[in-house]
Amino acid sequence: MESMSTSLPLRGAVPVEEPGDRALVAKAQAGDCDAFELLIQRHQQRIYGLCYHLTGNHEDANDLAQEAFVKAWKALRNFKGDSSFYTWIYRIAYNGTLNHLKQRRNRTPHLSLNDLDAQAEHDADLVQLVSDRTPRRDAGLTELQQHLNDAMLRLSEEHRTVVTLHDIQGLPHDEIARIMDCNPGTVRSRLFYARQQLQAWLADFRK
Amino acid sequence: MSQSPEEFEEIRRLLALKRYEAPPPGYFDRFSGQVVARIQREEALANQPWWQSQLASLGWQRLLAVANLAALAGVGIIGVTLVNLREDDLPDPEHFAALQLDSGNPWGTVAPPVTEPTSSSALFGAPMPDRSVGVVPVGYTEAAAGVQAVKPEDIFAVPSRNDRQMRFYLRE
Repeated sequence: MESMSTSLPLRGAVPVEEPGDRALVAKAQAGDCDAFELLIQRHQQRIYGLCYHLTGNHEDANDLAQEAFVKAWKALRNFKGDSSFYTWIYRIAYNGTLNHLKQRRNRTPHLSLNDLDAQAEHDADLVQLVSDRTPRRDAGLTELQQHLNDAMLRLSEEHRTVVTLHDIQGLPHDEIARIMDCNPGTVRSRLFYARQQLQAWLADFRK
Repeated sequence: MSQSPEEFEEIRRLLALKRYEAPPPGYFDRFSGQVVARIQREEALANQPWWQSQLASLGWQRLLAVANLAALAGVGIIGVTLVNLREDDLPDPEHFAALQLDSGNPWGTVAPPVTEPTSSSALFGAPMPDRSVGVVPVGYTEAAAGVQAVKPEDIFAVPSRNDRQMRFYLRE
């Protein structure tokens, strides 16, 4: 069993149980738009990230992330607080993105963000991968990114979601299970299968 | 399902690289403002009367197309109305009554108004008179058409296509 939390730093992310969320939600439920804007700012990067890694392009991710927050605002009065706001907004974004993908199955997605974050060059894993561990030493970040993106897009939506939430965004299995409305065992088995697939497809970069 | 932490370590490290994929610089600085603006726009639309929101959702290009269609429909309706009016348009009977007419030709030198055509069976099925036949135009009384001193039994009617009667009379 893997540890529930990963060592991956979550850029711009907030802890899963953000202490101020409940208070902000209460204010937003009373119609305070500024409070809701604060909630957006807290969760926007993760929500955008989920949409981006599932759809594979910035434009769709932008639309879907915005739509998720708009839907959340409209449904906020019905939010009882049974789960955290964080899980709830994730679930809205996940379901919205799945619907979008079903409607646009014939459209070829393309992961197309041009720039890696400026912090990328300081990541030890990344430096190692593009210098020592890559079979072709001249393979740059773009090629590595392209291989990774192609492999991700070959996964099914459910498997891509699990990989995105766990291996990229660092969410624990239980949290992913709540978002995807399945049990943690299913999350683990999907994660295992997805990694196996990726491992096979990315074999060149592992040797 | 064996799953040791080491088994997928390299894959996980590769996947972790994807967290560095970032949208354009400044994107997240604007994001929340864009969402709030979108919410306010949608709420403003929801508070509008239904016809205003319909107009707003149409956009000016569609609106122009709808206006063109409406104009075409208007022209069509006017055309159909004019055709119907023309069918019902009959000459003023008083105009003809005021004319000085010869006894043999109730129309004199004035061209008679066009009468509705009638079926041949209706015409030829009628008894053949031994006297000449005059026609009372549709919409006219005998007096208005200048037909005088005709006995009622010498007048007979033939139905025309528009449910009017075309009347004939036997000349003396």
